[in-house]
Amino acid sequence: MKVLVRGIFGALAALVLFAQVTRTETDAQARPPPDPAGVLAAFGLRPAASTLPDTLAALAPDCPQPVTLVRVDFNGLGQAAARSVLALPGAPRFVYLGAVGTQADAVSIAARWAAASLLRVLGLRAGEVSREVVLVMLPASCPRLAGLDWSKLSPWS
Amino acid sequence: MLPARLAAVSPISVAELRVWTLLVAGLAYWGNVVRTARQAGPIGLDSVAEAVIRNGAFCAAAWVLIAAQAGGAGAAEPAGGRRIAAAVAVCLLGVAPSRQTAILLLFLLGVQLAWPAGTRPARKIAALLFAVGFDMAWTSPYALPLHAAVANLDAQVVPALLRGVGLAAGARGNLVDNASSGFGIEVLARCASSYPLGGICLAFVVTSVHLRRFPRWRDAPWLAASLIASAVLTEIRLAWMTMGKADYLWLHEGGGVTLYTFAAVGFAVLFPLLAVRSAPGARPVP
Repeated sequence: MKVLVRGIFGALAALVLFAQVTRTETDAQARPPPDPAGVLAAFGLRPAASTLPDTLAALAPDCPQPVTLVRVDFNGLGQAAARSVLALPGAPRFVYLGAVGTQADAVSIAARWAAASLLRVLGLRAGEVSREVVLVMLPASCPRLAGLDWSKLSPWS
Repeated sequence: MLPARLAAVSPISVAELRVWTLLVAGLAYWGNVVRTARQAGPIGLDSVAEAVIRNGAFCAAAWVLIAAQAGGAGAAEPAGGRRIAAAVAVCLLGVAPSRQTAILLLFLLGVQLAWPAGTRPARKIAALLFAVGFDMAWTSPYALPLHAAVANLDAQVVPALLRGVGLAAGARGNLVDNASSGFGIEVLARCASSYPLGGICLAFVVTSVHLRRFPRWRDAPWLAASLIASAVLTEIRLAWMTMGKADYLWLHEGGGVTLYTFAAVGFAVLFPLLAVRSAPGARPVP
């Protein structure tokens, strides 16, 4: 009986180490987060000079005003740039883990973050859960741009 | 008569059970530390050593103290089947390689050790596990929005400090602008005055336990003083950083990092020392 109990705990200790190593390997194989510049290029937008620091700007062929984009980390990085972007005229889109909203809905963002984190704990999701909300300011004069799939900037998986 | 019968059917002692559970908890904790600290490439001895060092001296000290006391954490009496089953259930959390389950494991193991009436070493280990778990949760990505919110408050405090020394300064959100020098900084979550507080609590518990004294409720004012000192130190550091680029680089990446670390560790150790010294009739308990 003693051997059995010790064997169970020994196996648990080995399993803990094995799981950590396995997670390390699956994380290394996880798909990297999308490059915003690449997504904009895939939409047919070409890079433009941004008037705001720490932001990306791109122009659509049929639109004179640029699309402006900034990534806001949960740690506060990009907050200042986001405030500048929100001061621009246009229609904002907040993109996080596959969801696109017209407002920064903290509850929705937290729910998606929690759901993705739970899947990761259960081993059903590889890679770290994104901590970045992408803010896109679309020119109000070009409604076609609103129809693009902006969720590609921060996909669910 | 009864203990002899129990010993005959019970597989291992409570003391051994505690050692096994603490071993699994330690592996889960350090496994997470190494995995999350690793940037790229395979796990090697150097990456493990770097992760342990970066995790902080007080975390390492906490686990050294836990290991030192693990043998005395349980009685020599046989462990019952229910107790073994509960220990296995808690240890199973460690199999899920995530920070959340590691934190939960530490807290539940702490509860198992302290409740209903653990031995003195068991309660000391429980206090250390709670402190390590709290620090792990406090510095996790899940607490980043909280620290980012505090960083916005810090960004309001720093200009007040700068104005106090005759400099023109202002803040917008988490941005601090020193108009006198034309330099500004963006205060992020990990720079916020709240971020080191989990480590300060851990340092308090580790120092108290190292001094062979169990942390008590009457130590709360000393702990509060320690937290306030840490927050003040962070505000001074942020204000100093805002003086100019050279000051920022020195404090953020140069010799100022060592100076700040020494000051922070000094405060973190000073207050639990004072708490132990000032306790009326307090005698170190082995």
